[in-house]
Amino acid sequence: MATDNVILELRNVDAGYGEIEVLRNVSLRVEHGQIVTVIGANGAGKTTLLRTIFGLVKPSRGQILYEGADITGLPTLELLKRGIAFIPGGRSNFPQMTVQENLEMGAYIRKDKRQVMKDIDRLCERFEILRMKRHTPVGNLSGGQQQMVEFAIALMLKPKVLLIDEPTIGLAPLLVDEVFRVIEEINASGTTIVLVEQNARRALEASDYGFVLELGSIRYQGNAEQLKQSEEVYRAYLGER
Amino acid sequence: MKRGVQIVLWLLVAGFLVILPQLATTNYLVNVMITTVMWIIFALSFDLSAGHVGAVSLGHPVFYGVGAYVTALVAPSLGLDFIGSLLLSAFAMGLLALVSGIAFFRISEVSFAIGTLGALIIAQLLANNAYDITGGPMCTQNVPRPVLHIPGSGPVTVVEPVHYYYLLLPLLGLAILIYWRLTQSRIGRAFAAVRQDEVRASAMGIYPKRYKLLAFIAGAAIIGALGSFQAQYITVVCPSELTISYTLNLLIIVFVGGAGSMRGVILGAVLFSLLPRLLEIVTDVPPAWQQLIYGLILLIVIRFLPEGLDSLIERALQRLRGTRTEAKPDAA
Repeated sequence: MATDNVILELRNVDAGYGEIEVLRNVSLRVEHGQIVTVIGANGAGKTTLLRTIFGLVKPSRGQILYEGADITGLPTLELLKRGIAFIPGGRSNFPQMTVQENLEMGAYIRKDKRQVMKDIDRLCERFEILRMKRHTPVGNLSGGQQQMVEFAIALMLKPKVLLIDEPTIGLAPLLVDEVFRVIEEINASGTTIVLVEQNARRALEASDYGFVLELGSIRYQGNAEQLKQSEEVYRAYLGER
Repeated sequence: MKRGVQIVLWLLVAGFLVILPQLATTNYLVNVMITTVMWIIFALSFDLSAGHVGAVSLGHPVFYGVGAYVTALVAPSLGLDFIGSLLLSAFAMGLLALVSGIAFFRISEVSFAIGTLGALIIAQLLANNAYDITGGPMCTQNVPRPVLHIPGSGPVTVVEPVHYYYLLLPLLGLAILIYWRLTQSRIGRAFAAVRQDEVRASAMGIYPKRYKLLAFIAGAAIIGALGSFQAQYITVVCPSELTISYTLNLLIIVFVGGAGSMRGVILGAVLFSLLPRLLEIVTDVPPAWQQLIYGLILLIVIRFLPEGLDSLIERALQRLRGTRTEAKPDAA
């Protein structure tokens, strides 16, 4: 991997909650414009990895670099301003607020109110569901529709790197395809994506590169194609051939 | 609602509250009014954190009782007047909320409720047993009454309930203003975000702890000032100001009225204060039965109107306007 094209890098990162260490000596590089997937069993530390990059969990050792600068230990607000956004797993929206209000919340830290409204209009053009349900409380939408809103909330800050935690959990198979279509579209418009997914097969199909996390350490990594070919990865995470 | 209409409505309410005591024929009725206004302030300050950031502090009366003790024990030695005492208690309780909040907000919702309840019980034990300082069950007595300096005449000591009522009204106005400013603004949006999804809120640069602390501190300062008023009104501060029954009453008021809604909370407080008086007049219900009736009302409201009486008003208003009915939940 060429260093100059790396947008996000972890160097020997240890992180966890109090006494419990979850990540051990994790090093990884994400290139500009890629979709990168992190797969692994439950409890391997996938979510913790995203939370650590986003500053919600402070590393006890190691370094996190973004656009060549050390961002280890920076508060989430600062990371948001620099262009890193995070979509938490599960339903993560404000159910009693309308779609419009959820999008406004996405731009909470922005000061340019008029431009925010324009951006909301633009997102509503881009995603039909937002346009149709713009003034409906998000809690009244279906799971798939809510997931679209959750993407859109994160896009309000025009992130350069988008961290997505388990976007398809609990969704019907048809909707899973729709979610991946949107992820690819977001990526095509220039946003680098780090994805944590339990649907490893589908995620690798959409990705350029993949990491396999096992017990808090990176066990394998490689091009998505390579990982899919790998016997071991296949048996452990993708099911029987 | 249009802004002009809103302002006129508020002015009408304010005018009504100012004229009200003139209609009262006895001090008893004025006392009922004072109690009602006090419950409104109490409930609004409680709802700031319970209804808006979802942090139900069962120990909320701590700030009321300790605020009263601060005015009774500290303010006289500093030579503070009525307003000075109010400010001292408000400031002290805001500070106490900041310090205790940093600790309490480390624990999650349910533990937070129980933790703050523990603080209330400890505070009452302290008040009861720190005999040398608080007078224990004998109470702290002879709290100075407010002295007003009216130009043209000498200092006047406030004794009449109706005068206390007029001293209390500005505090109500201030409580409403703070509540309104905090909840109907950018900050209010952040409150709602924190309540509805803490993780997502923090993913958007809204630090949940900060906003929880803000609501907690503001509520504590308001209720600290009310405790100070109470001390100067009754002139006695007892450990019973730290009773858990205040907590129960707050829960009834806020959840029957409608948590997170100023209209609902005020409605709840007014009903709660006036209902027992009505029961007295109509049927002579013994006080012990009143608690039972409250309990029943609370059960019924939670079962059939989980969002409180305010949701009834909201629905009625929407029907009146006709046009803006909420979209039906999507079947897809």
